Amino acid sequence: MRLLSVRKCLGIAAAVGLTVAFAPAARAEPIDEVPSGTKLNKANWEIAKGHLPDEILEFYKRGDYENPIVQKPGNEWLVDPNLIEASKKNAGKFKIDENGTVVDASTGERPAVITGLPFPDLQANDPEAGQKAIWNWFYSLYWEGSFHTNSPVNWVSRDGLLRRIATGVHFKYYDGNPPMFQEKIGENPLNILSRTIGVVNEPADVNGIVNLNWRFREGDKQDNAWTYVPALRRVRPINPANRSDGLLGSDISLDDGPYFDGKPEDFNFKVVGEGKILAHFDGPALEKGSPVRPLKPDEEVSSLVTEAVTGWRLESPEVPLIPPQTDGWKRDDGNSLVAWAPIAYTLVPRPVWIIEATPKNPYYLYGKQVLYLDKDTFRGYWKNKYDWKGNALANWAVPAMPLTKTQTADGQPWYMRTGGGGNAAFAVNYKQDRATVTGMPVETTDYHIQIPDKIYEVDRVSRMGK
Amino acid sequence: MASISGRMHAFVAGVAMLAVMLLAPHAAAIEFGPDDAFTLRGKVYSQFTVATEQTKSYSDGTGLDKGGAIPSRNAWDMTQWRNFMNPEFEVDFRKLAHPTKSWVDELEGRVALWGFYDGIYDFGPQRWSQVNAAYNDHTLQSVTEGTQIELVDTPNGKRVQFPAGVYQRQPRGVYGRRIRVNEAYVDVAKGPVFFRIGRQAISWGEADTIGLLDANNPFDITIQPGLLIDLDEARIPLWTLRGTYEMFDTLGPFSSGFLEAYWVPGWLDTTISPLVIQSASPYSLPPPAALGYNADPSIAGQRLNIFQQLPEPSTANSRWGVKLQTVIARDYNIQTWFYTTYPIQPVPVLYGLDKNAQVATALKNKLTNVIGVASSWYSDTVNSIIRAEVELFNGEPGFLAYKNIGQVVASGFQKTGAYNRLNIVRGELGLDHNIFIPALNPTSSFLIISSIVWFWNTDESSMNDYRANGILKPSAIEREQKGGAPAGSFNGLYCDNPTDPSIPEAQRACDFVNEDKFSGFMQMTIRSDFMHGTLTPQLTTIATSRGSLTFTPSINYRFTDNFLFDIKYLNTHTFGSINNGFTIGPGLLRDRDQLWFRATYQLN
Repeated sequence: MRLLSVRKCLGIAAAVGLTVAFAPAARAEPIDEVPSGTKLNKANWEIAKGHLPDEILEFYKRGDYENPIVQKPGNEWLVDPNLIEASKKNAGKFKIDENGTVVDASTGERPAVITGLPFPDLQANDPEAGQKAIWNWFYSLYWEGSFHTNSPVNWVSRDGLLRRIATGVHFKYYDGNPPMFQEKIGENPLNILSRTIGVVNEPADVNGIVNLNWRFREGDKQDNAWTYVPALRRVRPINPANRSDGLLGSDISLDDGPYFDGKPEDFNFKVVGEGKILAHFDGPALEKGSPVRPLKPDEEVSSLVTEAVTGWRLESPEVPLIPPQTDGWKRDDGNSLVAWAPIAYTLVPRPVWIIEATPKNPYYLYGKQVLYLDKDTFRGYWKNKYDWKGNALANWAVPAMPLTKTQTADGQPWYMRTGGGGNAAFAVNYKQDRATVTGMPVETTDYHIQIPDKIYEVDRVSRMGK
Repeated sequence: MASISGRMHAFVAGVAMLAVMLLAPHAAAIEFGPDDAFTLRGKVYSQFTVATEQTKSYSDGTGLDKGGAIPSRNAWDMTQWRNFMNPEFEVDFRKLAHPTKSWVDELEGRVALWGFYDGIYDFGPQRWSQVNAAYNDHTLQSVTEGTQIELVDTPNGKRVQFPAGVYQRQPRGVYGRRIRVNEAYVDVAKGPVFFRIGRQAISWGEADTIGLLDANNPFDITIQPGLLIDLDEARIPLWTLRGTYEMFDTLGPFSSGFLEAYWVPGWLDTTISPLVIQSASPYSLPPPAALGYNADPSIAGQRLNIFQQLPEPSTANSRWGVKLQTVIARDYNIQTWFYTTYPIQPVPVLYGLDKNAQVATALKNKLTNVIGVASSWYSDTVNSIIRAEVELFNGEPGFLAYKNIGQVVASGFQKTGAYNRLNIVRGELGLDHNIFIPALNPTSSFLIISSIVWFWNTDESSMNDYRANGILKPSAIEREQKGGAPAGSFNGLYCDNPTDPSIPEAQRACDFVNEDKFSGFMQMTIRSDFMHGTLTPQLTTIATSRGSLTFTPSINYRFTDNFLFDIKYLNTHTFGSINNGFTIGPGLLRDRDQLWFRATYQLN
């Protein structure tokens, strides 16, 4: 083996040091030794024992799922150095108050803006580690910025696609954005944390449904939510506490969202372990990268956002995402994959915090959720949901994506986590033996765009109605 | 067309539904043009409905017309084979003319058609085709275009003179088939200003099953809206200029404040509901048209001729409204408004005898002012959305039996009736609640939408005892049908002032259904999604203070996104005497229980 130069050694050491700042050194485990490219399937499912939720492992054991395992040592391919840099400054600055809200450690108040992960030096023995990990998750999400996408939602049974609705969604975050985007947010007198507006376009009987949600920064303030009901021709407020309900009978609830979108103050979080999970990544993005490109300032994002001002656009290539989209899906020997198998996923062993979330609301559908948060990025994998008796009910998997290096309008290096065509998310209902798949077909997504506050006004909801 | 048996009715309708199901099951909305600027989508459905009970004689008539039977429905009779279409065409003009992209934020258009064909007169029980023919032969109904109807002197005394423009309403033209451009508008928006110009629906206030507080647009009341026909299908859009102005994002405790206003030019559009024609359809409301046919035509004032006096097309008859809406303290959605409208139910006024000595009764429509305030908010305490609304209907025409009708009879048909204009307060308190019952549905909640809707006739007093829009008591109709005095004969002073001690004992009766000073109803709808959102059962229950109870269970099944199927059953029961519960609302349908089967095809 060729000796590395001293400079290279120091560079590597520095990178390793940065990594260590976010995660304790991980011991190599047998799963790390599995040759890259090995297909996890019915023949070798046991190698994944302890590295997947048991119910997901069952799919591999039965031959319903089959995905390659790829070794990606280190985390420079995954961790945004800008986020690391911003997060380092937060060490010791914040704490969790009695409501579960992240507050300034010295004042006890929620700061107007937090940039980066609020708790970069999470310790397993911290009794508030669970709550802190969730806030890290949210701020890692906010760092990705405001975005727009058209996200079809597909109901899938063992026989294939049952139904589909087409939705267009605009997300705006008022906190946690990278500084150059945060400064464009402006005044926030209503103390909004995030706003979402979603429009359903198809099929005809749900065409014109518009959902608007405001989330506030106060931990004890419920969301405001409205919906335009085409049958009544008017806007009605909807119950903001009903976030565990399935969307239009699907297996996705509002609190699933980008992985976990419950209000942190509505849950108790506890770290119940650490480990290594076979994390589901956008396979095409891992293999070929992501064709994300900068948006022109006057480029139209959507009918609501007529000028991007800033941002990037991802137009993913179309790849088969579930078996029915491939030829010869149904095998004569009966060894077909299940219709909702996430065939575009690639599994990468990743160190995780294992967090148990229990709702404070006794009427919440799920008595417990188990989240696997990446120790480096705090992105989540294979969220399992249980009833109040501890029976596993469902799983929610949002594809993880590798880092894509691009640049800002003034030529500065910029990093984004964007897909390569395999970025569909899967909600699997164990008991009902079915799934809901979002993002299929993969539609254009626009990141870090400037979304005007106006589109989130209540009258816009009725304006959009028929 | 020759009579077709009930089984054949079902077969033909079933074939139609199958055709709907097989129509291009994988069809998608059609998008075309630059940047897919044009979109075509829509839906069609075929619905077969059967009666599940026989109508009562006081409701649907079993009297005689020159020896023939006037229709009544039997149990398991076909009552409807409704085929409905609603195609929609939308265009984003900004995609067509790029230079205009920066001029406006929004420039879109929409056209939607609305049309139906009901095979009841061609494929239904023979009696309905007979009715249609009968109406073609007799002047049973007539309409005037807004101009004054006068009493003029004739050698036979004063007679009602109808101006030119009176025309006959045909059952087929009301209940058999209709088509219209339902919506045709352009949306233009720039910054905080938005305009929607053209034929459109506007809905302020809170309405659930029955649109009472929702009165911006007229509703087609030929079939009971919300119960026997979908509420939105019954809504009649109007040619309107509507504008919205976003006043502020935040202003102290107020946020998201906007002003909305609209104008329906009266010279362009004074549309109200088509006339309900007695006994012309299985859905005709009581009383039966047979009423009066038993009477001796040589005796003046024994037979009934109802006509609808349409609002005159004029600027003075314009409808308009203005609304202010905001969110207070980030929690409370508040709206307050003023608008003018024509009440959903017209009020009958007796004019006198026409040239054929038929009693001519006009259904009057008058612009009414509506002042309202509504609020909705989420309550942590009850984990529900609470909705509250109060509206004052100022100047709504009212019905006093003697004033509207009785005094005309008492004068020997030498003067016309009159009506008072009332102040009626209507309100609603509603609660929307989600509840999980995992034992029944492990994945989706049950949504419960409940409300109490109430009315207060502020002008009701012992000397002004208002009646329910001229609805005749079933006991009075049965009396006539058994050879007794014609229904409506008891229309004297007692009706308006039952406490008047000077009224002789023999005249202490009234043939018209009373209206309480305070009344109301409770309604509750519960629904949930099963089988991965493909099966949606729903149950609506309505209980009125006048003693009627309605159940409407339904099931909707989604075969594919293009093909849906639903079954709905309506059952109404009243309690107590024959007159109990029989008033405006579901109680009028107590003998109209039915079951419908509907197949819907969607072009998505």
